[in-house]
Amino acid sequence: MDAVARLAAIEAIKIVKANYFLGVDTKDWDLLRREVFCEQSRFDLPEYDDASFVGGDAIVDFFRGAMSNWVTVHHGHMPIIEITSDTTATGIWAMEDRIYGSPGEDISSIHGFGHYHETYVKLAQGWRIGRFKLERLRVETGRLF
Amino acid sequence: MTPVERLVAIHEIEQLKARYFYFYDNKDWDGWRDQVWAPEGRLIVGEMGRDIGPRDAMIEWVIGQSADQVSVHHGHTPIIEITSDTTATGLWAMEDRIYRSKEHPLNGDTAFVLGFGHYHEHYVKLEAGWRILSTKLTRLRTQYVKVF
Repeated sequence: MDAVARLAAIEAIKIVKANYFLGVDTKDWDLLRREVFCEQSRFDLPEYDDASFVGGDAIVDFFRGAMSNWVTVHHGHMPIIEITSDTTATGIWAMEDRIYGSPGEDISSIHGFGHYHETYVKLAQGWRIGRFKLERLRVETGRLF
Repeated sequence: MTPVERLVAIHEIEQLKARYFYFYDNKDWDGWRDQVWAPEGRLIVGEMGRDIGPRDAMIEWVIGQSADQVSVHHGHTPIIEITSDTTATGLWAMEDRIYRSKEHPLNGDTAFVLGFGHYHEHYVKLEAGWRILSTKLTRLRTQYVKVF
């Protein structure tokens, strides 16, 4: 891969992750299925009983079930993206998220920090997230009244 | 446009938005006017039902709105699409904080605002370089703190 193609791949992967954040926070589930995930996608969530969700549809179904009634804000920072072949790449993203639930729930607000560890795969339709895992540095929980 | 020209255009537009934040939060209105906005530039604030333009009238309005406040705006994860040699669109995640003085509270009684949302933007390339043609702010969540 020449230098320009490598920069173009990094830009394309940043947009995949930007669409991930946009799709999650605006609850645009079709955008996530269309532009972000693929059949090979796998989401590992150690903080959630070591759960794993395999396939874009399963990941989106989990998000929709978990987040439909919440306002969420996810921001990504400082990506470390490495192109490992013409069709594979890895990435680490710093992240900060805020989740606002409903008044009265036991935990109704979350403010968290951590990192996404990811792989990417280039398919006919473009770059997509392969396997990704969220590891936390710190989570603060609260109650809304 | 070649692949390199496209990457350069994306970089220049990201720098343009960086100047938008830098000049705005530092209240450098000359920089904001001359290095950020196209003359026809419009600011669309959905939450206030305002669509304000062109540039010079809009900036007068913004200066009045921003008087006697400290603001902090951060942008994240841009999605820039180059639609021709001289036009592009962009979407930015944003987080903002606005600190008001007692003399100039927001909505009469708000001292602090913490907000999250997205900018939806159009850009145009002029002789001087890329400039913002329009920006529309949509909100995910806004918290108001009243202390007066």
